[in-house]
Amino acid sequence: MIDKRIAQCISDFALFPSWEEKYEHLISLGQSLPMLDDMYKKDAYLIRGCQSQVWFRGYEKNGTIFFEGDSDALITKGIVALLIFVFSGATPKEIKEANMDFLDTIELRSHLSLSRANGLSSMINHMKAFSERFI
Amino acid sequence: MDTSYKKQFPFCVKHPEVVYLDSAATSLTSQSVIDAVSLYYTDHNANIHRGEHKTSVEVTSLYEGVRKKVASFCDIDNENGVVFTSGTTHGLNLIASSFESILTSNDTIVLTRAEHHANLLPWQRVAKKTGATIRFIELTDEYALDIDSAKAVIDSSTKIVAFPYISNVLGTVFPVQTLSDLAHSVGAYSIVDGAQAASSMNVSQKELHYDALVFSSHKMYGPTGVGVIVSSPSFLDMLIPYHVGGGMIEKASYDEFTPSMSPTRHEAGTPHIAGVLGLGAAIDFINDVSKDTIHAHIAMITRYACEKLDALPGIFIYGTKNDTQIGVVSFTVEGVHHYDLATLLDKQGIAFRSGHHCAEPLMGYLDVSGVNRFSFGIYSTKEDVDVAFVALEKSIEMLHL
Repeated sequence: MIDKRIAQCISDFALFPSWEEKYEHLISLGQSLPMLDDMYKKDAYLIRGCQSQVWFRGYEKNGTIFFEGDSDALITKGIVALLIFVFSGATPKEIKEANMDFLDTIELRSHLSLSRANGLSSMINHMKAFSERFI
Repeated sequence: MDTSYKKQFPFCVKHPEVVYLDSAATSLTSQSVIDAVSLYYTDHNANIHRGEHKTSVEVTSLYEGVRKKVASFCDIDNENGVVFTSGTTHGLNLIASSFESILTSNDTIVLTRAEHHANLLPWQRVAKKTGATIRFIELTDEYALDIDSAKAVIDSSTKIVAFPYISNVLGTVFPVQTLSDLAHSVGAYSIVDGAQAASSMNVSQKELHYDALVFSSHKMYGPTGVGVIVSSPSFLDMLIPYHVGGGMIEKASYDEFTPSMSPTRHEAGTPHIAGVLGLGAAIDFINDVSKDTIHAHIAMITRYACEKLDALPGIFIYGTKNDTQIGVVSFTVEGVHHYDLATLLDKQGIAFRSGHHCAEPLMGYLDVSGVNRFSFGIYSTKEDVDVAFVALEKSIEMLHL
């Protein structure tokens, strides 16, 4: 399932050749992300290593992992939405084994500053580590 | 387009695609400074104060010549009142740490609400170790210093009054002479964080009455990694050497050592010789252009940026917006996270800073998580500001879609 979603991300981003369109796409992804309940916007759900505030809440149901998340910055929220789209609803094993090289294919990483790229790594590490608890 | 000063800054020449509005973080470096640093390694490559050979003697003379130049720059009579440091942070740590053995729990340290961490954390540490209390001078609603608050918190218990000459966030010019005189009226020392001011403001000790002025070379067109404390030999002799080692002793045995007099007691180890020579070239550059010219130019650009920002809807400027705000314009955009703005402006070649600017408590005081900051140098032009504004408007439009 993750492979299909990654393929969709690649084909979606291929529609946006310029940096402006890529960012506008990310921003619109963020805007369409369902609201995260305020009860999860606490330190316990905060991802360390991000310049803006990022919260992730994960849970497991019938062998499947689900994520919800939010950020106070719009572009970051777009990245949160992208990762949730890829990971949420997959099995812990799929999440663990997911190859994240597609982030280079869609040129996301190359468009991020170092601090934001580090934040992206922190988010991925957090989601993978959460999922591994259920393997 | 006025490019006359840009030509003297190789970064501007090599990277015309970058609009550099981050001079408060570090200024660009002039060709003359780069030449001076380079000349050390090609022609004067020896250690100072140690060798008897010709090159060592020559470079020692050049190094000590910069000390005299700094003394003259700051209008002090004795060049032994100048200590070379690694920068403002080092200088303030050196001064503050010495007061660990001087202050008691009956004493107060007075700071302002607008401190950079460099002039806050060292005093917090001293306060924790000695039991001394830190008091803060409030700001007015217009982001100037509240002089009535200063008069209220500075009293006979005050031993230190430490403050920025120019706030790195607000750009507010603080009244150095008034605060120094207030400090002296109760027998306290006046310590000035001059990092944002040295390149564009009058730093005359005789006119400003400070006990110590601390600044960094890299915010005045010089190299990184070097700075100064400008004071008097008697004040410097009271300070405990922060580092001990080579080059700072009167005598040493296996059991103990006696430090030399200032300033060498505070310059243990081989200093950043090339950096000091570069600082000398930076002072020459400022003197050649003239500080009045630099001040007038940066004030003009600051006014221009404030006016343009004020005309944009949803923008809030954290500053006095009059002639007491120099070199720095910090602002927020309604409904836009500063980090999103930083990302989109960076994509358009605008180098500026967003975030808490090493002044986290001030962000809380202003009730913001961070601000966007444009800051200027002698090479900044109105065209730079215009290009940044086009990029700013485009970014806001993208984020408000």
